[in-house]
Amino acid sequence: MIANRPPESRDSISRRSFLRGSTAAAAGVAAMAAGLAPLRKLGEAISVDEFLQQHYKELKPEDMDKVLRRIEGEVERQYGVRPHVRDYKPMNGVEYVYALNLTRCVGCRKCVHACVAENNQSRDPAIQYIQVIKMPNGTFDMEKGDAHYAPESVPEKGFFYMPVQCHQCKNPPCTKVCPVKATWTEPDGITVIDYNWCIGCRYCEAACPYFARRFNFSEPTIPKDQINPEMSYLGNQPRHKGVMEKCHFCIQRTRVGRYPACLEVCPTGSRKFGNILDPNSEVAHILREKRVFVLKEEVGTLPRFFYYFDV
Amino acid sequence: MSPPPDKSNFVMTGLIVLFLALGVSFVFSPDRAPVRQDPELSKLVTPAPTTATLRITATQLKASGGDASILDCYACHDEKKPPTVKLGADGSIVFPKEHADLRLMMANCSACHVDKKLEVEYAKNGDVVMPKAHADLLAMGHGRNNRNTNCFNCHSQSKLDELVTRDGTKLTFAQAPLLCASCHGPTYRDWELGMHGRTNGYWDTSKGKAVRQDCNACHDPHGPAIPQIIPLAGPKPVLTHGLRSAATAAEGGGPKAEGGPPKAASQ
Amino acid sequence: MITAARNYTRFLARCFRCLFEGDWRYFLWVGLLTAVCSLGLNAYSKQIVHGLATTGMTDQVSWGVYIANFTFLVGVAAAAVMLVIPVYVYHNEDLHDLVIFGELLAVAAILMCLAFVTVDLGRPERFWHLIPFVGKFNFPGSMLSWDVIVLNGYLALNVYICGYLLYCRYRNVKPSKWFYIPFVFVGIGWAISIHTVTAFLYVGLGGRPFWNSAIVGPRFIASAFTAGPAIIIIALQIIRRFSSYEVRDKALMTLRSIVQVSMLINLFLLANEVFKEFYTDSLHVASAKYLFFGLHGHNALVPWIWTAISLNCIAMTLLAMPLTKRSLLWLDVACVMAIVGIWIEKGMGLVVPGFIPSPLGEIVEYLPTWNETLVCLGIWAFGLLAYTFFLRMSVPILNGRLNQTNEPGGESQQSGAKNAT
Repeated sequence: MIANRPPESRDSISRRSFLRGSTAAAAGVAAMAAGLAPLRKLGEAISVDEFLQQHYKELKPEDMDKVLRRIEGEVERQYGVRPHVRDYKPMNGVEYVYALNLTRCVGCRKCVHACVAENNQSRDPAIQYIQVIKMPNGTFDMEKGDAHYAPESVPEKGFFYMPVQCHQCKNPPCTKVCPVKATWTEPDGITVIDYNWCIGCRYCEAACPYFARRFNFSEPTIPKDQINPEMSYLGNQPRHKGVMEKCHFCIQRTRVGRYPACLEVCPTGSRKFGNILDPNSEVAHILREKRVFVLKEEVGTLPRFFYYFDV
Repeated sequence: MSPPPDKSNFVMTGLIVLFLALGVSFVFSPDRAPVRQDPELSKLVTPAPTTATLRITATQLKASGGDASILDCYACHDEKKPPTVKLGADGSIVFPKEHADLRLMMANCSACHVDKKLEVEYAKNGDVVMPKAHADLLAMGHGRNNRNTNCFNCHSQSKLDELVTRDGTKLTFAQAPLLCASCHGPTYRDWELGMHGRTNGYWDTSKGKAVRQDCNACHDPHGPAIPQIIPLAGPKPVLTHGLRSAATAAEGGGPKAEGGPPKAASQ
Repeated sequence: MITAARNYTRFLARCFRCLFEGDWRYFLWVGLLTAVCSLGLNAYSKQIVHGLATTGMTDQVSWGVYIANFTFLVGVAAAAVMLVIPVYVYHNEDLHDLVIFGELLAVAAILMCLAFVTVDLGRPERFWHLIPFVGKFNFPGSMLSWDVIVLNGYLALNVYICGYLLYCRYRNVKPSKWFYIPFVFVGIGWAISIHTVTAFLYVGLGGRPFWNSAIVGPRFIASAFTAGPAIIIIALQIIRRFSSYEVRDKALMTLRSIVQVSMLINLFLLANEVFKEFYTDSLHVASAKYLFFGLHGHNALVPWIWTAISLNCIAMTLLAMPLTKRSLLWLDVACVMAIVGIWIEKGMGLVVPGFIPSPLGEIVEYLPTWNETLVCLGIWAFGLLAYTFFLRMSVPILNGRLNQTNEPGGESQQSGAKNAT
């Protein structure tokens, strides 16, 4: 089927079809470009500083200072409140442990909301680091639990209440799987997230056996008058859409020696927190004298969050 | 030999029209965010956290001159449904049972009681009978099966500003925890070590104070059980959206909310 | 050196021009795919602006159709090896000239995989955090870091091999063994590794008992080697239909045997998993119960999985029968059934049930939104477009129609074959 054509007509056929094709191609490319139209509403483009910012562990003190000032400026622009954003370093000779007394927890959820207020969590969509599971007496089968209970008053007879938040595991599956090391365990035991480094792949959320992690599916909203201006870089600085967050043992409080917000509001004193390396701390006493257990011990996460019953 | 130009041109024109239509619709489409809408969530208000205790101790109440504003009222009261005040036949305020101990704490015992030995009245079945003057001030609920309703298990019969343990040791009101300890030893041991009862402030006492609570801050000695509390809002149920518009989902049409009614307690 | 670069540029330019030549069916196909692509791009732009709340994913079910499609397509990419092994290890003559189409399919599939992973990220502009030595790469700890390496490596491998062989053919030069044979053999091992690494993403998670099973890796390979060659069978027939390239029936039959055996293994492994879950009947059976029978009244996936299993069984039966040997139509039916069945089984049948119930026992079901679906369709259209373009360029080169000898204004003045399709 080899036909001999004079070069001109051969070229003209291909030229015609080339022009035809390229017109359609141009229209197609234009349609694709028009497809990007929604990006007009992207608003403030990400600043070059923020885009190029290095990982937390690579930041020198002067770089970190610049970052903190930048964050302060951003928060002020967004919420009209000038915050204090600091980078708290871990204390030496400290390893945090949390103990929760399941006899005393009545399921009032004051801890949940104290955490929300302290840590500048999004109200819409609502993010809550702590989930209180109402369990029927006699079982630890989570499928029988219910986190959405809404009775007139608590506690209800025949049930116990089990708050679950990040356990700051010693062998965390979440830090293992993060492809960019945006989450790691600090020397004092807290598993932290560098919100400005996280790429939002949600692998850590899939890996966590305790449903402790939360993802910002959209830009968080916090009422301006409810912002907590005392912030820390690894803790309660306001997050943005597309990054993970979770309980960090109120790092901005605990690293200056204070109790976490959830503990301070518990009306029945069910929550206990302290330095396990101090043999006189209440958590050291609890781990020595009470019959403590952890959730899903068989997964091997070695949580730093212990549950126990008093009576 | 060559492909029929008509069909080719027709297809090309069709495609160009399609691309232009798409382009126009992209650029001029209304700005409606294709986002899951959950109208209830936007009304979520975070209650201001309070480190107030459930009770106010007698010392605190007396020190504040009767001001009970540090109490955590909304632990038991619904913020949206303020309580109503009940008035008696003579127009005076009737203290609800749950608050009766406040009035009792402010009372001056010697106003009614002259310094003489008091007696307890017993009913036919052995129960302690609450004297009429105290009847609307407190309801005894200490111990199961009414085991500990005898006033003088804790109060000194002869001196009303004193407490007394079972073996006769006299204690002041400030030493009340020792009285509780005389029966609740293990709990007292836990409390001493910080394992029972809340501690506020600093876990690292080199940096600040740790504020402990007395037994009375949470437990009414006459009815020590922690009262029922109104729970705050939990996580909102997640509506399964998908393949429907945001508007329809917001109206609640379609798949029911997940995690709705509590599961029955089955074992 | 400069001449070599100039020649190569000319070659690329001619390939590019090739894309604009074709009959009305070609333009209709490419045009429609471009339209779907633009819809996908528009939907993705909305996702960039509003965040992943435009999808149906939640904290409870944090991976959805994006990762489901990614998982399926990694398998398709790995299946190119099922053409390579018969030809390079067993010297199969019928498939010899068709390997390159498998490798080009692998390139298109990997491009789709990379696109699916990118649209799933909450912060795609931070992709540079993944670049070793520039960002912070968690290798060897994170299986996702392994996946980044193996996928990009596989892409580079196949682009290189195809590019080298096509350019040699264009220049009528015999490809030098050392420049491609070692890479082909590396590619065989590498193909198995890309899919095993993807399986290990799921297997290593102790908190997800549905995935935490050693059988997931073998199931991935078995299903990949069923769906991949099935796609190639269909693609080769399309090439035969729309070009004069020779595709022998024997080649299709060889591929048929591969699909047949792989499907048998796939269903056997499924039976293994079903037994283990339901005979043991521990608390960990919850996810499997949800998938196959529904859990506590939630049963959105039940019709899907049973459809998938039925399709797979029917496909297996058809492939076992001589009917699919005699009739290409029935072979195509069996292949399409296998592809759809495995897509469902690997996608919604694997990714979504792993999240239900949540680690704290909560059941939240998942359904993709329209926006999410449009993004998926856009990426599929992009992949099909890429593969179409690859074929549009490679078939004339392999046929000799696009050749250095007939470069316009080139050294050789011999009239070559026509460049009409």
